[in-house]
Amino acid sequence: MERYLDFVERYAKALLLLLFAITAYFTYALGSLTSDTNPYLLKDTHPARKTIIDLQQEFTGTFDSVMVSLHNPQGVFNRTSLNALYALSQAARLVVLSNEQDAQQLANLLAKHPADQQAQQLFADIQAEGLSQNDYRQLQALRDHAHAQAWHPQDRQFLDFLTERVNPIREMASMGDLENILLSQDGEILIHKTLRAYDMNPAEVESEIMNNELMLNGVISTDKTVALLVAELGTKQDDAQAQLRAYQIFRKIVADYQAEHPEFTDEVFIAGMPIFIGAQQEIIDHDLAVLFPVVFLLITALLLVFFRKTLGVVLPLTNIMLCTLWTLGCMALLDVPIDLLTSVLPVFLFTICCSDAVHVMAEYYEQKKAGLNNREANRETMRLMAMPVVLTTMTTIATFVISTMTNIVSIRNFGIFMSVGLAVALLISLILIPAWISLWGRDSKSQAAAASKPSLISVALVSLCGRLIARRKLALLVLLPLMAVATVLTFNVKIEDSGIAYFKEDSAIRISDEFINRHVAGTAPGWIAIDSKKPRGVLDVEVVAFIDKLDQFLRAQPDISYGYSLATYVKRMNLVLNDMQPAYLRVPGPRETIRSRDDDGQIEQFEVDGNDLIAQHVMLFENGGGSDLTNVLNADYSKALTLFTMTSSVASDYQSLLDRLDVWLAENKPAHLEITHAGTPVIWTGVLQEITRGQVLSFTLAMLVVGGMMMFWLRSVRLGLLGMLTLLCTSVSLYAGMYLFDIELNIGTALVTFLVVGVVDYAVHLLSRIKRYVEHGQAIDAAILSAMHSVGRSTIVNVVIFSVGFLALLFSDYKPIIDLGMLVALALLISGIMTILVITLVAPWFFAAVRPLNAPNEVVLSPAGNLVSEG
Amino acid sequence: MSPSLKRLCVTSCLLISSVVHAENAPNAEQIMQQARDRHDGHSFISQVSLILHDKQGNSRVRDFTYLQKDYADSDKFSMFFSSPSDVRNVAFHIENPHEALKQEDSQWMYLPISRQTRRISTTDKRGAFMGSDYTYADLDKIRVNDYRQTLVGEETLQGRDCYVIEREPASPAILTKTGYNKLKVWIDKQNHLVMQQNFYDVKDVLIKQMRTKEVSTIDGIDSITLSETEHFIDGTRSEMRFTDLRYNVLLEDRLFTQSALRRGLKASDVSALQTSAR
Repeated sequence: MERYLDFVERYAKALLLLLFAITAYFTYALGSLTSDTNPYLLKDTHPARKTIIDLQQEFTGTFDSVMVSLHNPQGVFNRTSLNALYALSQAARLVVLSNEQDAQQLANLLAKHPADQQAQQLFADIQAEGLSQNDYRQLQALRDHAHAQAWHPQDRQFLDFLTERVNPIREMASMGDLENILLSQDGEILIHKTLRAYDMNPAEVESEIMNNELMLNGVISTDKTVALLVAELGTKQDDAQAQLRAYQIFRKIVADYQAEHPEFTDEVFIAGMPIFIGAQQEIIDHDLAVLFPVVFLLITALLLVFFRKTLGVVLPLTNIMLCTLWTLGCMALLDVPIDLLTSVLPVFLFTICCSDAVHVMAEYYEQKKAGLNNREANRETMRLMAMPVVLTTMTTIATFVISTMTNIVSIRNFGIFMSVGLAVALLISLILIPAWISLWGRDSKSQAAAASKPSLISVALVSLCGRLIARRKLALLVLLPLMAVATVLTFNVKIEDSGIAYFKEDSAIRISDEFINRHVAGTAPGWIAIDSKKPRGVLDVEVVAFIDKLDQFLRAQPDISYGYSLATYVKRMNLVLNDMQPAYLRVPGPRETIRSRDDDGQIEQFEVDGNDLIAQHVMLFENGGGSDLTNVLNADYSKALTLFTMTSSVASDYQSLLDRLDVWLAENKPAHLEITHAGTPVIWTGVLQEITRGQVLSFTLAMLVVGGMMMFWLRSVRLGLLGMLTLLCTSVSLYAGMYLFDIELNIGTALVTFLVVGVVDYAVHLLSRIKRYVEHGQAIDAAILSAMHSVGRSTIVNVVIFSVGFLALLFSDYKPIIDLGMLVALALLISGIMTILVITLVAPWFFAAVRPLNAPNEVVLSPAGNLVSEG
Repeated sequence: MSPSLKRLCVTSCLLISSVVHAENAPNAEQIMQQARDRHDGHSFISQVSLILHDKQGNSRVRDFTYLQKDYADSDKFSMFFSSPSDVRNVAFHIENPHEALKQEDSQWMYLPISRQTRRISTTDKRGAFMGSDYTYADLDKIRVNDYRQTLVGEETLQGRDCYVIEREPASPAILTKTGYNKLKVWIDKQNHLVMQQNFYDVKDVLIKQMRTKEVSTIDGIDSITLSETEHFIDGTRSEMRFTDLRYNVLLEDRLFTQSALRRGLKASDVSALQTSAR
């Protein structure tokens, strides 16, 4: 310790210079910090996401979509609305999501491989006429080449993204895009797009669209007032940038059309994944711009109130400012983007990392009050505080490291960079504070006057603890049942993810989403893949009948608004081939009686196999011009896909549907079929399960690790257990609070667990100080009061700083972050209270084994806690 | 000679030579007409294997007999599928009125399971012909006036000199019908066969390419005996192989009616053909 203090004093200037030089470097690196609004919180290898990615290889219509809906209260079957829909459909097909920035990045990328002739040739082809949709093939070849040559993963990812960006539109669905199956007056089978040109007769379009279950509630509302256009984007799910561009481009397409056609006055709503991502980007931008200044002001104000000293404000602020810049700079250097969760990292870093500096500074002022000069106060502070600060920080880091044992990428990144930030803050505080004080610590005069004045907080705390000690049994009688009730409530906390509902009610995304969900196909698509395991295996009466039954089951479920499947097409073809007789809007039976005219014009009647009839319907649809079959059938007809859209964005609604679906499938599924679920419901319930799993796993591990560390530090199993007990009491109180205030555990509030367990400063500082007093001869209750007197103030200061600092999150635009702000403030407040309460009430039992040390001289402790020899 | 006079002479020579060249080389429309009207006999019969390759490398073969006969006002085609079992006895009949008549063609399909012959709309010809990468539009006889065409160059393909022509739909209806925003076609200068064709979708993206892989001279007529179409987006490929190809066969009119589809192509029809006079 002394060598470290000597070193810091001797090289104070050089160390400070080094710190600021590193900070300058990280600040420079910040320029390349990117943001990621990918809403899929799980990695693409997670089963919940992989299923849909796999299905995308075999089926069309399975990608994320932009949804544009037109609303005309008088009905959309008028020339103006139909022309607008047709124009938007035509324009949407031509969308390209690559831009000049991509072209430049591609050029930069190829400059890294000047000797790669194949790559350079492909690049020359691409460059010849600028980046366009027609470069899709060359980019595919370049992408495959890059993978084969094992180029840098980021470059490969860029090429993966770019290939899809140049030709992003896969499928379209609208009155102008979906294939309709009809029978003309003279018996001709028509399989065509209904809205095929400008200025079509609205009555003709209406007659072809309405009463067709392929269209109703999908691309047209039953009341005819809302028409929907869906543009499916082939872009990679993780390419949030492309989705964001899609949102901007679609907004422009709509705005341009409205400007050019003032007669078109329908309301237009845009929803779907791109707008979701766009809205998230706005939140990230908002939070980065607002939360950081707010937390800076709050912390500065608090430091001013508590310390009223220049150093007391400047040093903690400099410390946390440096650690924040280092951490964000580190993210930039490692190409880790800022996302919805990590956008609040500055608030966390500012608030939590402030703690070490506050403890050190508080101790420094205590030492000065005790009459030590600057240098001695500085050295004594470091002697007393270095190890507790290291321990508490290491414990907090450990919990955040444990938090990375989740499959939720945002939480993992958050945990990693919180750990980095905490480590950096510790390092900086152990260098910056002693070095700075040794150079410029000049608060001695004002301290001398204040030295004898005990702090009001300390006095109040000692008084409160004294009363608790006097009524220990009564307090325990109240506390224990309360903790029991809190434990029960803990297991009833709602785990949820509410998706769109987290956005503000007046936000464009929420308005659009709710509008579309109220009128037409829902914005949350789900798919059920049915695998027969053999080619042509799904062209079977039993299978198609099962799929039809599944459709009916799905349509009867709450929150499901629309769907289609192989059965929908087969039924429609059956209807058309039976001259639109309503009785034939059904799946063919195992044996069907057919009536037909023979060569002589005579009616003949014969029986056919239902399977053959289904195969014929599919073939006729395919040959009649229908290409939409690839939405429901794979290439060898071994698999079929059923789509359903949900109008809810709440994960528990998804879970509830999937639970009911599983029960239904267990009763109804033919044994030889294999079923796979995919899409939004699966992804979000996957997120929910990951949150739950992560919480249980992380909490258990964190408790064990933190407990172990406290046992090690306090050199006592009992005291370690006491520390764990304070954490447990805090946790159950917090979860009970969440239950009582109806705060759900979601992607944002899940972070609070790590804070509750990880921020052990209060317990560690208090327990180590009590132990110290007991070991030096004080009775346990006296030691508790002495400890409260010496470290109680900094504990309270910390509680207030934590609580108030996290209130900055209330300025976020995103509900989970706002909830998190309230919850963390509440959690840290509870943590402070529970630590003081639990330790004061039960410490005698846990300290029973702690014996005074056999010191050669009589030793007493100064109020500041340092040893004073009287020998 | 003054510089300006010299310039005038050079310009005049260039103009004259370009006019002479233009008179010798046919324009794009004429080339397409020549391709449409090329001599291919008054009738035609062939066995065809339609081979479908998926992107995993699996193949399926569908066999059919292809008949064609020229009529005064139209060309008529019939196709009778013989294997595999899932398409056996499926039959198509197509009537293409001559372009000058400006009439839409007609298309019928016989469904052997329900013993129904159904007329299929020709307003949309984007449908995959028997699940292949050929659409009905691809199999259509060339219609010159449906497109605006431009001669964009000359290239050699498989050792054959070709004209390269770009074709754009003359109306939105053609675009809707075919789904192609542009075609780029390579026409053999000698025999006017289509040697290659690129297909661009509504986004102007090159989505597939049809290539003539084999040409044989049969009965004095240069004929495509192997054609291949590759779909770049889907990663699939289809081949059409023509065997037992014969021209100017005596084909009875009854084979080019809707009722012929129902009756199917009997062995006796084929054996009669083998002995029929040319």
